[in-house]
Amino acid sequence: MNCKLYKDMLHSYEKDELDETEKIQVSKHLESCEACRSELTEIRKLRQLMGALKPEGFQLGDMKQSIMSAIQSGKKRLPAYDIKVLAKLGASMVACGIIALALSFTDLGDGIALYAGQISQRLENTESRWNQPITLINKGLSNMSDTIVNLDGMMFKIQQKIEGGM
Amino acid sequence: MKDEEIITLILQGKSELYSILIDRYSGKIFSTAYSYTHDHEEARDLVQEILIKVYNNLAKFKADSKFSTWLYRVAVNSCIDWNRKSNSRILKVAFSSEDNDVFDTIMDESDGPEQALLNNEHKELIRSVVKQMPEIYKTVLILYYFEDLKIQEISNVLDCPKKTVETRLYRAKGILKAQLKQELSGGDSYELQTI
Ligand SMILES: [Zn+2]
Repeated sequence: MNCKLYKDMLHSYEKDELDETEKIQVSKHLESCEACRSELTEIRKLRQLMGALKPEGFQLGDMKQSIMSAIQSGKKRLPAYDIKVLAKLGASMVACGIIALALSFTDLGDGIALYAGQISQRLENTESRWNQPITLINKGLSNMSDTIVNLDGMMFKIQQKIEGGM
Repeated sequence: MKDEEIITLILQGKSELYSILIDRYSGKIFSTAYSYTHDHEEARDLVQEILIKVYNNLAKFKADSKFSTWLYRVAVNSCIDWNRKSNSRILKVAFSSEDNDVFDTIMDESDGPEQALLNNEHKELIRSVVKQMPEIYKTVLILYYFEDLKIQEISNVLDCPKKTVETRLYRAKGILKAQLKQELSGGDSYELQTI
């Protein structure tokens, strides 16, 4: 085996990941090869150097709270959607018998995606109950906002699919 | 409790247990993210994004691999995405014929025991050189040297053969060395085309 092959194995050798045969081969080669010995020394020095470079000052702080509330409410911050992507999505949702609409509630600070069909139905229901006690109307409104939150979560997943994420 | 047990419980509805995984891994993810961004705030944003992404995809995690491996995979992919969106400087590498040991230079100039006493200028230098490396080399360097993962784990994270990881590491170290040498000597640089 030539030097280049041994050199490639040195990072594994250093972390003791070679099988027994390879390990013996490399050890033997190291005894006779100055170049590979200095290569290994470099790997060790670099480990020391870079090992000493851990970034300082990371504190979880309130990040944990915001992650937990993001996942527990199922509400995530929406990235800005490309209008063409939305158009494609819209088309595929129409194909599923659902109409998708993207509305931007700038006063809420977030883009929120709504299913127009479902929402308008909820609105109608709410209107038709206009003469009902205010608590019922409030409940209707709160159901509606739950839907918005769920849809928000769905859009997040769709976005991940588009991005070809995991 | 083991990661995998926690995940099973989370998937059964105990989402509050995710906070244990956040405690366990946020520091590691931060240090990986920081190696890509070289910026505290950007790295924090990435940590948050990664941890939410991981939660949302927990159901896809297959228990036949280690959770940490899968987590690193998500983290590295997110960092690479970030990298592509940000305007990173193109790496130029000088090929120098002189063979003084640049790692020695950096270590000798640090005034104290090897560990942790690199001067700040050199820390910055190493970090910024790593940040500018081509993606495939940068990633293996970060995982092997900063995060101290084994070759086998890196190969699982990147889903490529161990031999590939070894070859990339060997080249990455060479590039890093050449680049440090150039920065320290202030010499001319040439476009990196040969790799
Ligand atoms: Zn050799």
